Amino acid sequence: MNYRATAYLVGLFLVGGIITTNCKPQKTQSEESPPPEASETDAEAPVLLTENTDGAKPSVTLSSDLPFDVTITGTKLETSIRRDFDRFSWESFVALNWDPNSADPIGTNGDNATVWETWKNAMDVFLPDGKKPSPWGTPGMIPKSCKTTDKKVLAQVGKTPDLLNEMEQPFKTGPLIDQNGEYTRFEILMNQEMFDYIDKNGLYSFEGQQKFNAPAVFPEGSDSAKEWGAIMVKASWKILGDNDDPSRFHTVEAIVYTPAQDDPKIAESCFTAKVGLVGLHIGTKTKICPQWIWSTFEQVDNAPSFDNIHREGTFNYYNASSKYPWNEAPARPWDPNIENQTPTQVVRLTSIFDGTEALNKEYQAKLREVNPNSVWQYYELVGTQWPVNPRQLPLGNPFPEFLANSTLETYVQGIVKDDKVELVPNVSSSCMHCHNGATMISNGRASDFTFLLERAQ
Amino acid sequence: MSDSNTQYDVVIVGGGWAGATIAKQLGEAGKKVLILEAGNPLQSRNREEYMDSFFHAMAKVPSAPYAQNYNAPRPSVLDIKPLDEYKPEPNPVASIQKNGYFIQKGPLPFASTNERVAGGTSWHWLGTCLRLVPNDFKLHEKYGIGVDWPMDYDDLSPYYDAAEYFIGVAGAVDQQNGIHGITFTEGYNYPMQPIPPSVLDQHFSNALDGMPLDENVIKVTGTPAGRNGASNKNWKTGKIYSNGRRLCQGNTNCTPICPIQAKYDATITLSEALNTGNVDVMYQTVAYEVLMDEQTKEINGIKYKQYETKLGPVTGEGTATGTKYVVAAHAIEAAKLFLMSKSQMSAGIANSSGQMGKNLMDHPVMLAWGLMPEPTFPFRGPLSTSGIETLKDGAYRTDRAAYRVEIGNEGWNWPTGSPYTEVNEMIDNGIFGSELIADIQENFTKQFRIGFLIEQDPEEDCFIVPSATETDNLGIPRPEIHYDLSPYTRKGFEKAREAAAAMFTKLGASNNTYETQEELEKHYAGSVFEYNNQWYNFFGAGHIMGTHRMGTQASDSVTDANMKSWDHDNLYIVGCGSFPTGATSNPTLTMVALALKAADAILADW
Amino acid sequence: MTLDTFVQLSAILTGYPEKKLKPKNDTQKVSEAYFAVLNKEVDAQTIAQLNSTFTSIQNPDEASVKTQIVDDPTLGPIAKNITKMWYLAIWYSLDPTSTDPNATYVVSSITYKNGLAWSTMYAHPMGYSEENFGYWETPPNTK
Repeated sequence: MNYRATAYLVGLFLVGGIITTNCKPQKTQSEESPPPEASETDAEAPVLLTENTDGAKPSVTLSSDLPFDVTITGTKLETSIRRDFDRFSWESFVALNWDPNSADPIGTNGDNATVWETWKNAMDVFLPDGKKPSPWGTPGMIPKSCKTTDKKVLAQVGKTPDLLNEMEQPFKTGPLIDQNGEYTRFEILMNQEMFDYIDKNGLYSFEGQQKFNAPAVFPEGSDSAKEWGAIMVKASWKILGDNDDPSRFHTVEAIVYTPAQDDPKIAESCFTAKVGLVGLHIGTKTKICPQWIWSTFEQVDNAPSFDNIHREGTFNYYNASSKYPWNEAPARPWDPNIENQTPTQVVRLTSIFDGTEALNKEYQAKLREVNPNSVWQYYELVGTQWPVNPRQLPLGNPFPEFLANSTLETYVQGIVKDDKVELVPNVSSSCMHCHNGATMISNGRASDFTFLLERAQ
Repeated sequence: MSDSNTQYDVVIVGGGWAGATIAKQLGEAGKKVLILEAGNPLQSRNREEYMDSFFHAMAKVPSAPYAQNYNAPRPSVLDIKPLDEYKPEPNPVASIQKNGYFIQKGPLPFASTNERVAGGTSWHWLGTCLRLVPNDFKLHEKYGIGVDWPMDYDDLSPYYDAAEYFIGVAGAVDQQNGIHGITFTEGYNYPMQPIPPSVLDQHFSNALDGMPLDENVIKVTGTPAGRNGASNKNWKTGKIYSNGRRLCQGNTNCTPICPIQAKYDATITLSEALNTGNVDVMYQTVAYEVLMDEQTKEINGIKYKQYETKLGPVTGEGTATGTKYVVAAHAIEAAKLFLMSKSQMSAGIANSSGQMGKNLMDHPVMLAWGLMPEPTFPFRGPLSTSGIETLKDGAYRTDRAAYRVEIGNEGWNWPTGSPYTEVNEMIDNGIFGSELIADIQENFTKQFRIGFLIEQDPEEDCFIVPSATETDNLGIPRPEIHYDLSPYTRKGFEKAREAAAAMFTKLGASNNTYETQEELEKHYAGSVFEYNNQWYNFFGAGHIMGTHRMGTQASDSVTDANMKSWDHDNLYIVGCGSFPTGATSNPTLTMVALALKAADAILADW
Repeated sequence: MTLDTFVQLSAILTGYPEKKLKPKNDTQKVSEAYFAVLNKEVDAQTIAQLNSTFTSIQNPDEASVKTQIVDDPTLGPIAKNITKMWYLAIWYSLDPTSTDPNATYVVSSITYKNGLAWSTMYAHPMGYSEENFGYWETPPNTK
């Protein structure tokens, strides 16, 4: 319906500021009070998409307004409250994927540059010897071994290319190999608010963390103060092959950088490639959710669901005729330079919740309205996890209990037992359960739900 | 048929801790290695599957997460019972279900267990990484007991340094340094900072530090552990230690399994070994005979059987061949394998000394438990964070076994099955509601236990042999175990009981330990024994040692100080079975140090 | 018996308020799980008897539940089993002579991690902790 955005250009080189718009003040409840009381009846009417139900907002709009915090009007945890959080996730996704250099709506030309890709890469924050990072807005570092690569990429105006510097999922669980035998590449970026907190408090270095000697408390997004808090994103990218259809992905020319490592022994290497976005985690710290809101998106062709394993289609990470066990890490050595590695066979074990699926269709339809070839219609929200009782410290009682992105937590999605999916507490993927254990490296202090502070040198 | 076609440099029996360690070292040095692993493969789903089993297990014993596998069976503490209750069963599966995997011949049951899966027993270890003290290597020279190690503390010290980095140990040099002569390399620091002490530890320290006991003085120290804590900068390179895993969150579950892998387990090393690109593993592959060349006496093959499911039949057979061989199958299985290999050597391969399978040792544990005078809040933190290491050496060792004291953070869980047993009793007695809450808070918050890990001297009549009659589902003989606690060790129990009484008095704690014959028989029938007119029971610490010991000569030991067989020049036998004496420190760190030493020796001897 | 009645009774048996056993925003659904076990393991007649006895008590409290239910020879064992479920997440076989190894079982991993025995003593179930590194160094907040 009404999607007007005003972009502020900040110099030739975009310095990663969040794009603001003329915000229409939104109806929110006070951040102090808990969600509204549930109704007495147990009976739950189906959530109709087009009418006001249970306080839910009317149909979706596309906006470059990045929400400061969630707006809760629903009263039923699994349906209407979940929808509020899912809307927050979509609004964040749309705003963060908006073109920072254009007033036109997202996807006007099919694909577009994005806001989040102007943010600081974690690699530029946690420097060798704990050196102080460069100020916000400084173009990202490019490792020496990459400087000889495609000059065209490096000279893109107004933008430092994405530097994809990771290729293994957390805690050494393994790489993700696509149907072309290529390793999926990852990167983690943070917004200015998150960077500033780390920078100002010296948390980018071993000694700085020791000196700080307290748990980290990142700034919270607040609707009343109209301020954003810390936001971090983790993206998974697929190297596009000849058989991949780039019109179904947000694509960029990226620098694919493999740092030298020992386990396995891999030499440093660098090349540029056209990559397509296959997964995006967004972690947002807010006043209502001090344990952060966890939103995760995937490209729609990644993998079939356990409930619908015979779905027709070509998948990024699944082949119906493969005999490889599901969600099993590839054979070692985990070296991307080895030819002809067997692709990972990925199955999404927990289907996307119906209500989330319905919301996905609404947003995808809206994105198509902008341009029927919008790449953004090929993304879906897998789910949102949030703390239902933030004062139940430290974890805050997450809902839903488990959540996994099939490209980012491929190998801990659960197990199949007697033809049913079994999710195992404390082990199967849950954003908050896992991140709750995150600490600073030099003193074990709680690092407020981010593992990034472990990277301090 | 699955004879390995590749000619491997080294074949390793056992994909557990020692096997993975040696595989990694050899793989990194460019050697081609084949591991034969009897059990469940290394898979992404391992931890989820094991934790799922754990959550659903009624008895959360060390083996609870690791479902029984009748083709590579493992023992369970739930199988321990009075000897006369073992009734023969013709069918191997039924026999294992009814009697357990071990054939216990007594007089006392062997009470410790191991796992047979990729990563081995490391899955269920507690995490304790203590060094032996200098006199532990010289029990005979100093005290006239047992035998000496064919090396001393100084020989092993650099390997201890290496092992602590290999595993990733959190500890403090200034706590361990000097205890009974322990020294550290100048400037040395552990990779990670010590794990914080629990509330209970602090109470113990406040009450007991400085208390004389026998010829020593009590000091409570943090226990170095293979468990992630805050990092140190490397003392040589200045590089910050990082192993990519989360820090301990005190799930209080180390044994049987850490849900988040904050505790090291050998799948980490197995993964690193595989990442060298030089290591292959055949899972569900059970070695059952070692073959040698009749002329050279060198080992020239290991016969194996394979299976596909835990109850299914043999699905493959073959012989693995290499230039050198390492058996790292854990103390009982390794000895059993050699003793089964009788077609060419009547006493078994590698057994000219006759010592193979003998000198079986554990750390029999005496638990003492009670209620602290004020709440110390059990079931918080790792299972153990501190201990008393200052009592484990002294002139008394001529006379009775030494012990170390482990302070437990899990209340009475181990000795009584708390909270299940007590809560059931309360509810059965009609307690409910607010009274139940009050009772739980009053009683459980003060529960504590300590464990005395008591040394066993090596005895020839503690031994394992392959059973002549009982087999597993593959038809491979099960281990028949003859085991007892010597007077030397029993006297250690006596002293431990006195020590517990003295400590509890000083703590102001009640002593709820079972000490009468009736109580002991009622709760621990099968592992109760008498000494000097008192009754005791013992638990196994999970430390299976001694069955293929090192020594200085071929006549009374199985291997030399590099764990090379005296009889077969290309054979190494590695694991806790290599220990000539057991001392009192948990054996794992020493086992890793020895495995690294063996790996060096293997490479040097190429 | 309705789920709500089951929760009311459970509150008195456990000593915890209904809103803790079945919160309005219930992420764990423990009460549903235990209610399902009760209906599976106990015959309808006994449940009906339990239900009618409980619902007929005016302003039920611990004293009245004790005399009419916990001390009752038929209803007592059921009530005790319900209490044990809440505290330990285990259904204990009501038949002491049963040799079926599956007659006594852990209800589920989710209920296990919600066992009241542990939180009552300011701890957590072994194998499941929501705390951060080092929490064990200081005593818990006992309110």
